[in-house]
Amino acid sequence: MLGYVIKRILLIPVILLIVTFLIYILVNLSPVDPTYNLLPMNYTQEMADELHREMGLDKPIVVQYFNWIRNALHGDFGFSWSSRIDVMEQMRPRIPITLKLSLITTFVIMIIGMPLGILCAVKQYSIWDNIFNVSSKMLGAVPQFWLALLFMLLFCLKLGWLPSYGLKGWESYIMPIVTLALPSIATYVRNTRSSMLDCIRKDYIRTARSKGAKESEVIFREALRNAVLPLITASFNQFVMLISGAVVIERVFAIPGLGSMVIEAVGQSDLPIVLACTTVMCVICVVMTLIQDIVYGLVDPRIKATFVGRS
Amino acid sequence: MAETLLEIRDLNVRYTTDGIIARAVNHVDLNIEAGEIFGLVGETGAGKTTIALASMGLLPRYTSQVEGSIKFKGREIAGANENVLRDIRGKNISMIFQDPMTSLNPVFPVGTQIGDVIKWHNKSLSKAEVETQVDEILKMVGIAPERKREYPHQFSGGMKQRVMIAIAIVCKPDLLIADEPTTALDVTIQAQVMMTMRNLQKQLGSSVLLITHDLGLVAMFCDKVSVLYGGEIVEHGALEDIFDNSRSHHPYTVGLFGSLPDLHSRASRLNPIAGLMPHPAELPAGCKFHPRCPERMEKCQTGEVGASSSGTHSIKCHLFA
Amino acid sequence: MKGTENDNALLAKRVKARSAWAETWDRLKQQPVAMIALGGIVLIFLIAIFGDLIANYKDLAIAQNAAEKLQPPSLRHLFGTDRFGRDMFARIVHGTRIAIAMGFVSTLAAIFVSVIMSCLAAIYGNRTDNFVMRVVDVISSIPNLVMAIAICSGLGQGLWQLVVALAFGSIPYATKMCRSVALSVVQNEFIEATRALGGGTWYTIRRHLLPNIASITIVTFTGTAAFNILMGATLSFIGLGVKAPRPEWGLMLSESMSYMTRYPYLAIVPGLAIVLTALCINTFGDYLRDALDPQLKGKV
Repeated sequence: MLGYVIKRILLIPVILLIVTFLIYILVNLSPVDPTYNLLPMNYTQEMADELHREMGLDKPIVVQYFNWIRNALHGDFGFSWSSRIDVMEQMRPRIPITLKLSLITTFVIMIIGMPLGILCAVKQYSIWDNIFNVSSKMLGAVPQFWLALLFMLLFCLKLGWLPSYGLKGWESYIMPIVTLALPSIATYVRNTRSSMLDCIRKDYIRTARSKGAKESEVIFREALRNAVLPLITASFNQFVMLISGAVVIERVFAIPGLGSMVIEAVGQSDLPIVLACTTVMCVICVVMTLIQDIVYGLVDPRIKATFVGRS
Repeated sequence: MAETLLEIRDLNVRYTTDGIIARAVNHVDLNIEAGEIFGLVGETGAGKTTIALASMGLLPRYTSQVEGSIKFKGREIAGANENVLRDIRGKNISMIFQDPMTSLNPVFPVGTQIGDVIKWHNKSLSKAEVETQVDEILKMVGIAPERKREYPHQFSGGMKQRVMIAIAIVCKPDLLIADEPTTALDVTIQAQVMMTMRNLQKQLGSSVLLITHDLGLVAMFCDKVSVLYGGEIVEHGALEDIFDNSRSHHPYTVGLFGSLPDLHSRASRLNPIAGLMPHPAELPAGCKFHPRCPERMEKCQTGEVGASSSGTHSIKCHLFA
Repeated sequence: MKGTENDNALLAKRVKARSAWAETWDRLKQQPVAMIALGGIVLIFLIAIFGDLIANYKDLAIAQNAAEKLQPPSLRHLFGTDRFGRDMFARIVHGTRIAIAMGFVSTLAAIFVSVIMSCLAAIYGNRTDNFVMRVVDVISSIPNLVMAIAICSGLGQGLWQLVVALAFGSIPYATKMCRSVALSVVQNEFIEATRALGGGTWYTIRRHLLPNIASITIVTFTGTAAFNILMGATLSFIGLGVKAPRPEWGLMLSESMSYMTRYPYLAIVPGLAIVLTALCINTFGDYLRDALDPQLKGKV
């Protein structure tokens, strides 16, 4: 187990190196030149060349990348092309906001989605099952930002129950979390339902019943312990999706998180900020995937066994 | 005469799926007495497992319909309350399933799975007492008690079936239902598992309902035999009645024996039954076996057949009516 | 029994050399919901093709007309007008073309690449397969939206850049789906038999691999197309995709954000267009999956 974990951890820098390189190349395809923003209106070609040299932009892209990643490892993402403020300074207060939003939403999704999914599986073919099936399909076709707009229109602007923008207290988290969670709950319920149904049909459930287990024991102990594996994957995937998915909701509700920062930066062609934000998001996602794999190994004895065998 | 343990009278089970009605068990009567091994023989799909599941009240609730009476020690099981059934399952009647590979829960150690049965039926026992019982039963089925912390995937097929047996007998049930307990195992392991089961049965004095299509197993272990075809018992008798060649038998039983290779006969070919068993949704009228029967008569195609019996032996066929 | 007659009738039908596709179509035809969804998809394509006959693009959907701004829905302007006085109905109609480009063109490109990669992985096995999987792993460790942000930031904003971003983002999922089926097909003995009989690689791909991964490809296609329509609208909404004044539905919503309290139709109409389009494709995809593989019904 330990060997496997170490191997997974060692793999992370490699993945991150490739991922960040890919992103660096993609973002730097942009024809935007910082001189336009950084130099005075009447700049000369010499001044531009000088600035390029200073910023290392005259070197080949691979060299630029390695310079950038070396600085990034020290927490230095350069300075913003539009405001000249240090990128890390700008980013630091925003990361916890996005993390908090995604984390709380993931828990909300799990707390609401799991019981509903179990209910649907246990009461298969019942009216509940059908209601959730149809409504989750419907929700799957609704873009999140539109849902956010409609909710904002109704609850914040028409009814005035909740603040419609910014972060001024716990109330301002309600609308973003609800709109983030709703479509995901639908998928989560579907996931839970299908993995529970898979388990409930298994032979060992019949064995448990033949042993005289209570129905609650059959469902919550024998079946759920087996169904929990795909649910762990679903929860982690959910969190990873929310980290970037929060971009949209942050924009609608004007929340000062990573997402609203990166979108603003794309609009202003502020490449250092775009690079920094996308990199941070990727790091969070890759690390979450690692944790997921480790948790997976801890929960399932069969997987644990293959890990031990392999390492 | 010994005490009657399980008494099944005129049992009918129907499955309904997508509007198709499958008559899996039809008018079955069965008596299992204390201490005996009762063999239930038939092809796949004859309704053997359905009878077993019905005896434990384990048939799927929404898709199956049960008519008739199943009495265990005089207590009605068919349509009984879930609480009553739960008390009986595992403690008074327990079951060993066909496929040990999938019948154990993969995420719990085998010791826990055995301990669960003990705990569920003896709430007053302490943890340590449960553990000692688990150790004992593992020793009885021939598994080292240290292995109780291992998971099912660490056991071989035969060992898993021993664990299943341990789960089934740990509460010393009056009746043990073994549903093709050796079908999924290698031949050499089959014998080991069967011997384990019989030894334990003798020690505990339980009755066994052995469900199988293997006539060899029946000959070796059973006291009484019922032959099942199309959800009906076509022939029933003591082991000697069924395996006595000099007696008359139901054409299906004859066919079953004809399908077995025999070392002593000089026949160059086996003599299998022609055709396939009908699907329970498409059972023919009259005698269920008549489309395949080499001796069918006009009257076999319509009307019910009565059973004719002599002593312990009874046959359901127009030939002997 | 009745069941037997039906079975025999079915059997007789099958004997008349019916292809798998014809059978799938037969099963689909019996599902009214699937037919409604298919009708919806056809309608969207028709609107996209004949959009110019319904409403003039330049005059109604693009040209600003201050005199008629922010008019509520009426007979003259079915869905009202936006703050620049552009007819919402005309904009919705012309938005279908962009939706199709985002949904179908990007998915088509992604599926094309995925099928090639899956076939190569399946045919050449081990090292090629490993390489394909590593590439897919790395790309899929970048969240979809982050990838789109990076591409849109690098290539600039616009429709074709958006289509590229969406296509690129769909490749990992599509490849995973196609590859797993392609690998299981290759393990069949008829592939070995083909090789033993001297069938070439291209022959094996064309004759055995492609027909066998066709159904998973189609199912993946519908799912991805609907997802990309939502994703494209989302990206345009946050200002990364299609640029004004193009009538993209997500962009229309973003433009009307500050007017929606007083003119809610501005927020509702484009949203409904997105939802109905995605719903039709998703629903049809679900029924198609069940019809293609009746055994899979209810699962997944």
